[in-house]
Amino acid sequence: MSERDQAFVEFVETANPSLRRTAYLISGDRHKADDIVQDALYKLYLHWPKINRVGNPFAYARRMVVNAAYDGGRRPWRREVAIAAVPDRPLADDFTAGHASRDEVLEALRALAPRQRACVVLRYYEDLSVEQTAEVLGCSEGTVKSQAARGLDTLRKAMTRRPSPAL
Amino acid sequence: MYNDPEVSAQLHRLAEAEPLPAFDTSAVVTRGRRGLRRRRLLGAGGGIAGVAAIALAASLIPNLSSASQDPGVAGAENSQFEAVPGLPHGEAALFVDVTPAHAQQLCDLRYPGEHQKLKSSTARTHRVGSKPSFEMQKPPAKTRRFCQIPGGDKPSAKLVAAAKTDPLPKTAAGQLRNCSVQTWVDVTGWRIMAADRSETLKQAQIIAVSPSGRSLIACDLDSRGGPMTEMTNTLFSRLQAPDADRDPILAPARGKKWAEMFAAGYGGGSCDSSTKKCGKGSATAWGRAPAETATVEVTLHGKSYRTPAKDGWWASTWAIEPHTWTGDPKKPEYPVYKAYDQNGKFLKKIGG
Repeated sequence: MSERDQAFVEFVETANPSLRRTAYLISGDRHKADDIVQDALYKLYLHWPKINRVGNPFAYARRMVVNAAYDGGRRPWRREVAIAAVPDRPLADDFTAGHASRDEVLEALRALAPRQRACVVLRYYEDLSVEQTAEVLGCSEGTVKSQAARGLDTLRKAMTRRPSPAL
Repeated sequence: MYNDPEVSAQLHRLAEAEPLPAFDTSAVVTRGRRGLRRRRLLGAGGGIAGVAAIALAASLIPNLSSASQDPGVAGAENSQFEAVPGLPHGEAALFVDVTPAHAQQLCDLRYPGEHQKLKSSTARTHRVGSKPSFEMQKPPAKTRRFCQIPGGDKPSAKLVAAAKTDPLPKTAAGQLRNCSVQTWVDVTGWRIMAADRSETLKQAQIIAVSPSGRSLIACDLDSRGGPMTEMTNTLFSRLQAPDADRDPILAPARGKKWAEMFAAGYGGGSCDSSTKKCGKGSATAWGRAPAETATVEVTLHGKSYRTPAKDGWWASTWAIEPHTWTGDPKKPEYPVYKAYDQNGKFLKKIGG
């Protein structure tokens, strides 16, 4: 294995759990999240020497993952990708089973608008500052503040509805 | 803005509650090496430029005057295709709900010798043409990630060989043959509504409708991996009962039944913030626009590409050449698609 590949593999082994969890929270789908991370890491590989030289490849990878995760579900021009990846729907009679096991907080997170969800995940899961979040999402700090506040409000309401864990 | 430890704890709980299967790092590296090789090859052939847009002549479109023809039937009545267990021939296979167990059998038949297991999912049924994921093995014996659920028409060895020899045909008959080989659904009698191809990308988009008018194939031919490649984004849609969750339809305007469709993909073409230079890329799309649409234009970073539309149907396969862009590369742009009528009057923004 070349030196380039060795360094890249070490990076991927370290970074992939965090990237996949972030992608999962934003996209709401485990398989889609893994595909997004695979694609982002593939692109990272192509430019690895330059990115590794500049430093902080994790921030670069996270930015790609976050934007793909929240952008993919929003933009209609990405629909063909989604259609290829999304598994077929459960039948209607699956509804009761899904309802029984659903998580109010997860449902509330999934119901947030894509940018709100990305703001909430970056601010409260990744612990990024408002400035860092704005930079990752390519929007203003004011947008991050307002979107995160709305998302936070929705999640708090869901948390109050969430039953206490059974003892 | 202030911190909220409770929400933070809930998000960590959600993220960690979801099991993380082993990540296939070697598959990423293998794919990356292949990508690098492809980029080097493309760089070597950098003199090739331009995009060929094809408006297929009416004489090349099969069955143009046979709108009432019965759905295409293959298999027993067509020696070019063999029957597939458990599936009807031709278009009828598209309306069958395929159970996960049957899907596994079909994938085993489609990719003989690979013995890859489909990922279990919440899906109770699949459709012909859908692409559920395979479980990735580590180290991977194979790099295939998806199974394209085949239809009921297994192509003959002769057809497969013909598709392999000419992966990006210029004739309608050749294109429909290759789409049939790729999907195992005999679409050789379907009517092409729109098509476009790019010699640079070595890709073509073929949009065809079944003789019954009930089904559509958006066939993505990609000569880089052959007609059976998983790189394609081919899909089938049910035109008479489209499903917004599965079919790329846009909601019809109030009081109108004309459901517009739009699907697109975009890759590469990113811009360097210091040099303002943008690299090679591709933007492929297809759809059904308002019926009076004569041209669809896609723009990105000040560049544009136009493709003709007929009866609202259009397809676009644009190879974006390296260029300089004076906008802000930190604010990524995406392709924007707009419809124009025959007088060049702007009709609507389709997507982007």
